[in-house]
Amino acid sequence: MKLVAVSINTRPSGTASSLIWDVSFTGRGKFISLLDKMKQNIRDTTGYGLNAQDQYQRAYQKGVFIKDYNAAAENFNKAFERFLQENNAEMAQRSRANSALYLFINSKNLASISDVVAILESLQEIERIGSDKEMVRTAPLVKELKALQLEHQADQIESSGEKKQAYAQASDLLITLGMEPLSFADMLGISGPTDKALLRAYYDGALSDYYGALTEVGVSPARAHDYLQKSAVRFRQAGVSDWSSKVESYMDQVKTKRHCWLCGREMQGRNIFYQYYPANTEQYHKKLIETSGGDTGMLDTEGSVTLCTVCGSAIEKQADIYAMKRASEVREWVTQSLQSHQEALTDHARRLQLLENLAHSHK
Amino acid sequence: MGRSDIQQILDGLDRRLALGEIDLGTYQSLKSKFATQLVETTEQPLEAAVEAMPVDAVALRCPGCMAPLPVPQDKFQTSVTCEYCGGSFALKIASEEMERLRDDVRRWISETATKAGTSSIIDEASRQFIFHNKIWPQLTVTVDRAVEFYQATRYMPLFTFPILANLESSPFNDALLLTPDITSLVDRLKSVVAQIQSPELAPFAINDREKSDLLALEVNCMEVVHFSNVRFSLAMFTTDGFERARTNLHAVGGLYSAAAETSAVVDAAYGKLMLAQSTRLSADEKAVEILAKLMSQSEGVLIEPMVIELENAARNCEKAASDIESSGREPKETAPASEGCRNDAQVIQMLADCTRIYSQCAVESGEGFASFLGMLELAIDKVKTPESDINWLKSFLSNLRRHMGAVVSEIEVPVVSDFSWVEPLAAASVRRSLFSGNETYDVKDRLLLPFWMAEMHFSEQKGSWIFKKGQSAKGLMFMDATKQIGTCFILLGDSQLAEQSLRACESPGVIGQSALAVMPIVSADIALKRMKTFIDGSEQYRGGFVKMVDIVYLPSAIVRYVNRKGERDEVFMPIIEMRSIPVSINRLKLGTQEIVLAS
Repeated sequence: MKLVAVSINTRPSGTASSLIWDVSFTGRGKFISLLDKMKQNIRDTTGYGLNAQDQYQRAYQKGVFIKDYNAAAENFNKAFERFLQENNAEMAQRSRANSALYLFINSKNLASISDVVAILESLQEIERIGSDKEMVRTAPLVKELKALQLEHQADQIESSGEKKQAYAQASDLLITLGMEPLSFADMLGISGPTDKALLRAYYDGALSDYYGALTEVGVSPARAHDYLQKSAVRFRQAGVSDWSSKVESYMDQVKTKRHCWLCGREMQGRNIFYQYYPANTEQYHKKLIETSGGDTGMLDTEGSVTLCTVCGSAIEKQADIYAMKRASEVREWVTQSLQSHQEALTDHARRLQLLENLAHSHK
Repeated sequence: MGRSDIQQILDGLDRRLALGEIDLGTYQSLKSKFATQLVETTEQPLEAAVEAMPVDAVALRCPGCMAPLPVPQDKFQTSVTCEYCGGSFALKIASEEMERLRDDVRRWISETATKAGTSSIIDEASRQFIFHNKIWPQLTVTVDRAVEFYQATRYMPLFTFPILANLESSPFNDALLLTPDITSLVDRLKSVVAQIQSPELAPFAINDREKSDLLALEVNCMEVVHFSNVRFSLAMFTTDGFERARTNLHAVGGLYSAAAETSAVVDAAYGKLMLAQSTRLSADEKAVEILAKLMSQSEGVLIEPMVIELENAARNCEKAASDIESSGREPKETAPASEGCRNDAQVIQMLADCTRIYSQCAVESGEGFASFLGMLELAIDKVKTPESDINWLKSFLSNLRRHMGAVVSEIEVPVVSDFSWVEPLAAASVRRSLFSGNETYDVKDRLLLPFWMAEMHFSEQKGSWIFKKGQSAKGLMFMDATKQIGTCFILLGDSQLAEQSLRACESPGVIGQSALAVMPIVSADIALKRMKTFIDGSEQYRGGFVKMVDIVYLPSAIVRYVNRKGERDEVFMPIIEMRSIPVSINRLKLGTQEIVLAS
């Protein structure tokens, strides 16, 4: 500690005693200020002895701004407790919300979104993520989080019908945000568009329509076709070309119709409700269909004819039954034949053994 | 054979005698024979219904595309050119083909009626029964199978103009690839269209519902054929091609209007869809008309009204898309139809942008629009990449329009035009050498380089270990807009350039001819993506947030240094982090103006 002579106008100057007083008083001031600084450093480093507001700021300085979101969440939680003690309900609520937000960003645990949403819904505005100054409305954040939660639920669900519902709800939420940038989607490493809300809304809408098609295809391929058409367009709008190609390929299957050669009923859905079966077909058969005004599509593939899955499967299953029956007949015959051979061989072996024994005994 | 057929044959005999196809003896014997048959033929209710049909319902059809052939102007004319597909056919062949088809139709109707167990006198109730149980199911299956592979192209884009042809992919190019060759298409559809259009079938469609359904089937068949003609003709970019495209668009528009009218009562949703589609085709027709005028004109054409008409056409297409979506038809129709409409609207707007740029740059010099487009294509070729799609091109044209507007002092943009730093920096960069001697320098060009500017908020960290702490900070981020993969820099604090840039955004100005302004080719979306990628990859700025502001033109200079050994060029900027940047410029003439592109 350095003592510095600085003049202070409290005592008459010039006397030795006044000089000693001056020097000691100045040194004491500096010492106190140094002590204060040390105390502040200790408070900053350890967080001990901070009031609520300082604790709140600490969450940014020692958490958010050094990207230690776990520390940020802890400090915001401490700030929440201190604000409660100070009866500052608004700041307490904001601290709690920030704590939940940064905990979520750190863990990327989509299952915890509902907790975050519940807290955010009680606030009108909050600091933008990563900033301690800029305030943003919580409503868009809540919508985005709810949409992400619905997408997560949809991922977990097995049922296509429920997936369809979940994605549709997610899309409806995001579409209200328009071209606003998304705040969380980028951080979570999820697939699909993550920059603008409208593009993600199209993506979710497209997924909803896709699962809608899967739900309907077994009952009404025509309705499934409607869904797939919407889905393909929306995937293109979202800029997700691999999905739109996949959907278009499936749509080609769903939309085509053919009559069954056997029962004559028109079926929609290639490899869903009708299939091509190998058959001997000639030009004569095609001409016959053409001239009679029938469905030429039944013979549009060389060496094949279309059968509905009912007729086709009936033939296949009956063929299986006959094959099984024939196989069991053959098995029975073979078993009997083999058994009689086995008996003959056993008999021969016994006789050979007997002869061998006799041969030995004669020696 | 009906009375009308016999009468037609008798009429045809006169012409054939005049053309020398038959001699007088043959003419007289045939005339006598058929005249006798005409007298003997007893009238049937069906034939009476057919004869009541208007004559133009039996006009000659083109064997190549089934569209109505033009009436021969001259009685000695032996061939005719179809104005829809451009094919030329001998009248005789067309006539024979049509007769053959009509014979097939008559035979088919006769067989169908016989199989239905009706007598030769067919009353209204019987005809209705035959239509519902025999004719309609056969027709729908035949049409469905004939067009099923081409249904995807039905609603795809119908309009394009030359510079889109060079893109690796665009919605119109994709549609053109999928559009079937007209010959194979017509082979599949000929018979069924002949059936649908035949006067003999008309009496079976008794009520409005049936008439509407028949017309819908005809629309399904003919639109695929006409749209094939439209796309292939338009893609030629010739005067004949434009004319043929317009003729086909007009034909389908007419079909749609007729279908809308016929189905207004029985199927309102279908009527609305047809009306909206008709609006789309009118807009496309108008755009083709204007494109044809622009491509064929050399001078003396008013451009501004054309731009306005194109923008109106684009708006009409957008409105048609909304009308389609609200028509009430199934999504399998409305979704692709509205998408196709919007694609056309986008391309028509792009043509309007090109035309406006043409009016800014070239029209006063008397340069033709076709030539101007050629120069524009050269510029696009220099900067596009394999990933450049129609959205990239749209943004390029939009940037070009704004840039040229600023160059010709019509539009104001943020410009920092302070070049006072050039001389001192150029002098300080002179190299001195014992062997080569001291360089002399000369400021060759003053450039204005466009950069996307964004406000950046991030956190700054200080200290280490347990003493580490951070604080919020902000700066300006600049992304080079002259190259697909350009450089990026950040200005923190209150640097002079940052202040100048912010002031420029608050008070934009024109570029004029004070300096060479390089054209921006990067869209806002791409720039924002690149900025985010940069931030995410940076240890210092990760977690930061950017908010795009605008394109700002920043000053730079090309300085040439010369010494005994040789010469070198340096491009300087007033930023320490980017003192010398690797830029070479290409100047391309665009009418009376020059565009400067970086490479």
